[in-house]
Amino acid sequence: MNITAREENGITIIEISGKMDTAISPAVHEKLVALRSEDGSNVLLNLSRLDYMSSAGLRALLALAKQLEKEGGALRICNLNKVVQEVFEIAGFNSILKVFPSESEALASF
Amino acid sequence: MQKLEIRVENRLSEIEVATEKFCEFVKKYDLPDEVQSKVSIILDELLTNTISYGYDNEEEHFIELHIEIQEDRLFITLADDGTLFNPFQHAAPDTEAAVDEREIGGLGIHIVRNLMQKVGYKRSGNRNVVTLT
Repeated sequence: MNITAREENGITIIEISGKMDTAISPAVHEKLVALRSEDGSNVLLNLSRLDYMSSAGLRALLALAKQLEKEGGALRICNLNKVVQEVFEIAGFNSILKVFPSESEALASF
Repeated sequence: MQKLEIRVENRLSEIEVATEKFCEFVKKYDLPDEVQSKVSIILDELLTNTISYGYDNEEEHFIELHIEIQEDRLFITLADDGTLFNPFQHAAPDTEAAVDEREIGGLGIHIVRNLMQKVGYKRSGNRNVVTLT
């Protein structure tokens, strides 16, 4: 698992590669929370290099979304591969999280 | 026919060992990445459940995992000697609820059920046997 972050127009763009499963997701969540720039920040997760995600990964994303919302910020997610997209659809996460096909579309939505 | 047998001890750290063995199997038979990802998700969900909640003692137990590919179809069997538990008897979670109302329990099994075409369970002696195709 590898996580990198950069800033663009005040938005924190985070890329996660590898997998988000039971063993790794709690650490990913901690890192995501630490990477958000300040209270009320907007975060975009680019998952183009994420191989797969289990329910533990979904739980981490949901916790992050709830935390950002509480702080007045927002979460956007983009570039899901086919398997992650399927997991999102099964779990109904397409309707509770804001998911976009590309980074540019996700950035434009903030 | 390609076949893989894995014996997993009831420790959460063993899930990664099982997943790595399956990755080697995927490479050996040049199976699609999608199969590797989906089976890794299924192993993570089912083994986490069994190891975390399936035993009422601190003793060492083993979960037997059998994966087979026949004519492009994947067959998975997991057998454990944990307490009687049919993972597929519970209702699916509410996947329509809003973000602040969302409860996550049962989501893993819901994902497993929907990633595969058919899921089954039987209690055989003192063993839970889960089958997936």
